[in-house]
Amino acid sequence: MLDTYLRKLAKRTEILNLFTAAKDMHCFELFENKKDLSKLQDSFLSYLYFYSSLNNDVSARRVSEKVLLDEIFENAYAYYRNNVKEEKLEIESNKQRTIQGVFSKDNTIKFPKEDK
Amino acid sequence: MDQIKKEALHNEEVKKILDEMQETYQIDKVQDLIRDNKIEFSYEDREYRVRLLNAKEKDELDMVRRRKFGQLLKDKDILLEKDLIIAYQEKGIDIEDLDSKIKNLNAQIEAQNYKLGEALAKSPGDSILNTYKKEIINLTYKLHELTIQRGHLLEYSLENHLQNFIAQAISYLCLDIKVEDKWVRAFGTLDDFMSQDDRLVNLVALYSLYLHYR
Repeated sequence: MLDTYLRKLAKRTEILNLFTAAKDMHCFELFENKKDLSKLQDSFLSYLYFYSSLNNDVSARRVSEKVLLDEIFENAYAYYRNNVKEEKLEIESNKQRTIQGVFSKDNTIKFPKEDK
Repeated sequence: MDQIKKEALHNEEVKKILDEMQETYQIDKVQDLIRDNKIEFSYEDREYRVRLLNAKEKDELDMVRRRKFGQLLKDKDILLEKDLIIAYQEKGIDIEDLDSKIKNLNAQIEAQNYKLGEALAKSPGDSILNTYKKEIINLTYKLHELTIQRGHLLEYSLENHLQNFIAQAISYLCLDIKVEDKWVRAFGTLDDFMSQDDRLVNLVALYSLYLHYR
């Protein structure tokens, strides 16, 4: 249950606004302590990043507003989004490996043809 | 009939308001818990504080942990997790099979999460979203059942004994008491702490969990 309330707190508009302002000014004064975060504070901060990113996606219409109706929806969309990002990164990394292979084949530089 | 309907509606509204008040209260409590990296509380007219361990206390913890590990290793009645798994296997209880079921359920949950996430990104109707949601709830319930079953079976492993001991030691080390406006360690030894009232020990264990493990 603690986790649910931690999420509900992080999801509050006024808290998210405070977080965005603190992030923009590069000063995190969300807690009384400036360093040595407790695990609970650490989790709360993770949820702030989580909801900030989720709200950005909703604003940019990358996902339906329905996502914010349910914790299961929120987790599922975050999982999907991270996996899609990883898939894209993997494609990029495979492209780079191909370029390196062509470069070192017979001590001559053969540039690969650009993708059209 | 109308009166009964009205009353039911009224009760429903009252319940909703009470639920909302309870939720607001709980969220405020959480806000208090994260305000600082220490938690202060009163117990039987004394002021206590649970906080993060400093470097010296972490060394102290490491020392008692190593000492306890040595003691547990010498105890022939306490088996390492891997030996306990073999002992169970001889009795026909297959923990490796349980692990594989847990792994499989996790993979199924991830697959359903991906499908639900993709569906949310593509905005289909509510019925598809709810079908995926129900499936995730169902799989998660099964996963919890198996995880609890595994936890019970390995409750008496050496690793579990050590983990419980570490949690107790952290609770003892991170608990201060206010004496004449100064914070000092609440109890002289771990045994002193553990012999206190269960309510105090459990409360400190809970707060310590929030700060050190969550």
